[in-house]
Amino acid sequence: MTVEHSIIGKSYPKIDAPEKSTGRAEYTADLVFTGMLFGKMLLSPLPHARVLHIDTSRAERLAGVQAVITGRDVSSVLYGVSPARYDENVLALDKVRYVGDETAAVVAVDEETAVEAISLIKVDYQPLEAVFDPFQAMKEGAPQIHERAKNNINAEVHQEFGELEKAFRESDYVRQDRFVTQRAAHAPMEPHAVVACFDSSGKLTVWSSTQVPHYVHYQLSRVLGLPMGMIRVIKPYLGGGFGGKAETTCLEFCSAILSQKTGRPVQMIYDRKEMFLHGRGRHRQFIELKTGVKKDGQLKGLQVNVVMEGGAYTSFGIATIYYAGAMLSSPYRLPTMKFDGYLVYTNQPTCGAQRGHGTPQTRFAFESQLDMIAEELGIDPLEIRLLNAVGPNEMTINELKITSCEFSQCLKKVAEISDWKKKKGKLPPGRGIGLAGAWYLCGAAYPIYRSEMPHSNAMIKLGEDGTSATLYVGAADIGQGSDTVLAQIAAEELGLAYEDIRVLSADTELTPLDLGAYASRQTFMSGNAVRQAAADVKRQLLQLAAQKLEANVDDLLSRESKIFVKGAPDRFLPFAEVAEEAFFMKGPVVGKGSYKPPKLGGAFKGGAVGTSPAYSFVAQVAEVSVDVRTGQITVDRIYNVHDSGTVINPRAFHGQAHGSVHMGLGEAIYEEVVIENGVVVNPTLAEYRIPTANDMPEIQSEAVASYDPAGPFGAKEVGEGSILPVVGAIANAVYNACGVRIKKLPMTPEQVFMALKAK
Amino acid sequence: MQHLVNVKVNGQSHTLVVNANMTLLDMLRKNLGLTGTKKGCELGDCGSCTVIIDGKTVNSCLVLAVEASGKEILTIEGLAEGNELHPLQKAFIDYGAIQCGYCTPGMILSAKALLDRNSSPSEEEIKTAIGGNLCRCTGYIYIIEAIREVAGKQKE
Repeated sequence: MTVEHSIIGKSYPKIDAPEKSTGRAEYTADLVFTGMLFGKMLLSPLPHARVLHIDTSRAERLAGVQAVITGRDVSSVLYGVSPARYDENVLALDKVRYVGDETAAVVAVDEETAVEAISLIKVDYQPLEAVFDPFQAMKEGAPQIHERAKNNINAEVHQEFGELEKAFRESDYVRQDRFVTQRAAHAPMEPHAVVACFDSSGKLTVWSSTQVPHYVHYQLSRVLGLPMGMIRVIKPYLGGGFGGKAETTCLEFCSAILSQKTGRPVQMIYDRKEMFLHGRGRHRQFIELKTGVKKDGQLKGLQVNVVMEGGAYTSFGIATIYYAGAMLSSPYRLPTMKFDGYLVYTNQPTCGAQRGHGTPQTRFAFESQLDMIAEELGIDPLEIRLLNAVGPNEMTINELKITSCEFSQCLKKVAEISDWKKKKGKLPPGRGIGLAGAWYLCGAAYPIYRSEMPHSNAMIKLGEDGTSATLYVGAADIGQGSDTVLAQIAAEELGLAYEDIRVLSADTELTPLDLGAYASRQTFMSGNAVRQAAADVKRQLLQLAAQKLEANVDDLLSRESKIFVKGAPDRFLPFAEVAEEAFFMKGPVVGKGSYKPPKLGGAFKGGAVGTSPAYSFVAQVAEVSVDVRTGQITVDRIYNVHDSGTVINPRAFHGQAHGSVHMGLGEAIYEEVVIENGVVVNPTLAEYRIPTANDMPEIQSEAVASYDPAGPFGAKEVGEGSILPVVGAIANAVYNACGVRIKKLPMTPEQVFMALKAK
Repeated sequence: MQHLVNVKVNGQSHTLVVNANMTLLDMLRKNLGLTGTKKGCELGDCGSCTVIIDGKTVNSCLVLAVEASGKEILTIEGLAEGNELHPLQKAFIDYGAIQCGYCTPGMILSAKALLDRNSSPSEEEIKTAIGGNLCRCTGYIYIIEAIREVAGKQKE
């Protein structure tokens, strides 16, 4: 569908970029309040132990210390992400379950005093046997980490769609492989930070570096026993999330409790090491794939087994294990599929949601295996993908409803821009090219806790003189640019200039509920709510303008700050004039909008996971060089083609693709959270190696022409889809370069070197 | 043990009393309220706290406040002339080089120090100059583009 837009499709500068460029943008750690105190956590040094006694007397006596709390002083209501698995205490009550588990908190006049006070707390532990490996943890007789989880199995998934054994019998070639991925970390530049303040009337305000103000609001209410109306959660400028800030942390609870105790604002910040111990990054998955195909490459069936090491608490884990299997049902047509997954507790830091949530791991495995199959059958990797590519308006075998889909176009375009046909098989030794595809949701169709609420909501108020519009939206701009994209959507629908839109976002008191920034939902879901709110305001103005212009309201358009009669652009009124008059006549000119996804998903257990009102599609090519003497991989170029529907802001769109490639590259060849006997041994940004500017390949990012009928102006997601194919594309390129197939991440020089030696 | 520190920050002279173990980063943020200098790791790994001392970039988390005495320091707050943004700030805005913005102050200052000593840096020189400034959002692509743009204009 081609519609001419005046605002959509243009690379406006990010609405918050000027404030960020001057250092004036205040992040949570930059906030200063009169009388503000500083809090700090005491963390467990043991991976598994019973807490016998905590002596806080020396800490309490230290000058400058205002309060000390332990598990006995705080609410014992359990919290977490999924209601079925609330398994975290605010502070340890009876047991600690990993090195880093929070056991006490202090608040003092400054950070130095708080740190000193922490060192004065004495905890008597009774060490318990710990278990770090998920396969050991599942054995009979292994130490039990949580009462309710026998053999430490936190969740298991068993799904079968179609007759898999029959499909394998009817296949010409069946292949089985095992892959192992690593624990990764989000490593945002801004560490988690919170300021909490109870005012004199008993109302709590929390400034938090959170991606999900609403869920923090909800959990604070549950755990502290305060009505939501007595709590306000504000997200200031936020320095990167990637899923790591998508859940409520001990910081929010403890700072609130300590503020209540002291009657003063309390700030708490994780240091970099604490960021790694808090964890919530990408799970290590042990993946077995068995795939059956016909001779021509047509997929017949897929069997997936995943064992996922979850760490000490659940976090997002249940959703993660479901996602690991569910999202393999496309972007290649699969007639049968079976998935068995296990999420296992261990005495290690907790894993959670990270960009692509549970799916980059199995996507790497599948794209690797698909290339192996293609080679065995003598089919080009591009051809086998095109042959099986899903198209628009299809239902996957696990009942995920695909609407708009330009996956084949993505494949063709990425082949074209990368010169695939000229390069594949024709590059000199040591150089290789690889391809991978993927898809992702545009927001989950169900909220994290059961509720009939609309997922995204927006309000717009016009400035009283009619020269501006303020958008009130709960969406969380975490750097991805949702404020900018939503301002563009509002401006386009209203007919105002982008510069005339003000955005007030992510404040639970001033802005209507939004579930926040996770599962790539802000552009699609919040965008729909914003467009509706803008249409509501516009309708009011057009009605007034229709009287004045003596025209039919349906014949009026609002564009570029003018309201005019279609086909007669000289019959117009300035937008500001109509808006001002509307205010004079009726008071505030306000509009509202809300978005709730349709009911989606199969009736089977876990049928909700993976459901979304729309899906994005992506194809990617990697070009690499492998130094066969050292095993060192250099990624030279990445070509990324994304079906993101209508692109609202091209620079923001490409920026998301670039960032995805960055994180995917890190996971492919550099990054791993290394844990020995429960202790993270590389909890720094020097030893957990995210790519630097020198490590980045050239990136060519493109969109395909696409329009989603349910998206705002046809838009879909981009922020997560592009990370999914990166690792697979690189792995396939490495094989193409030097003939070694790496099935374990990251693809370190040692690993490649040893594989070359063994060849 | 406390010390007297005389520093010139963004053109303004200050005399401050600081603890011996206070970092320049904390002095800027806490004593002078210059929170544009960010704290990302406190180990000199991430570059979020980059400032310019006497023309050279440093990680202000690795410099003691007392060491800065007698020096001239430029932080992100001192880059714009009144409301007129520095060309690097403008380019970062226009080229989409800012996502979350947490690395931005340090990144811009590293770029400024580079362009002050080398008005036409190669792509490799740009990458090396910002090699100590980690960014998790942008993949550095538009950051490099923005710096190249300013370098190109400077040359003209």
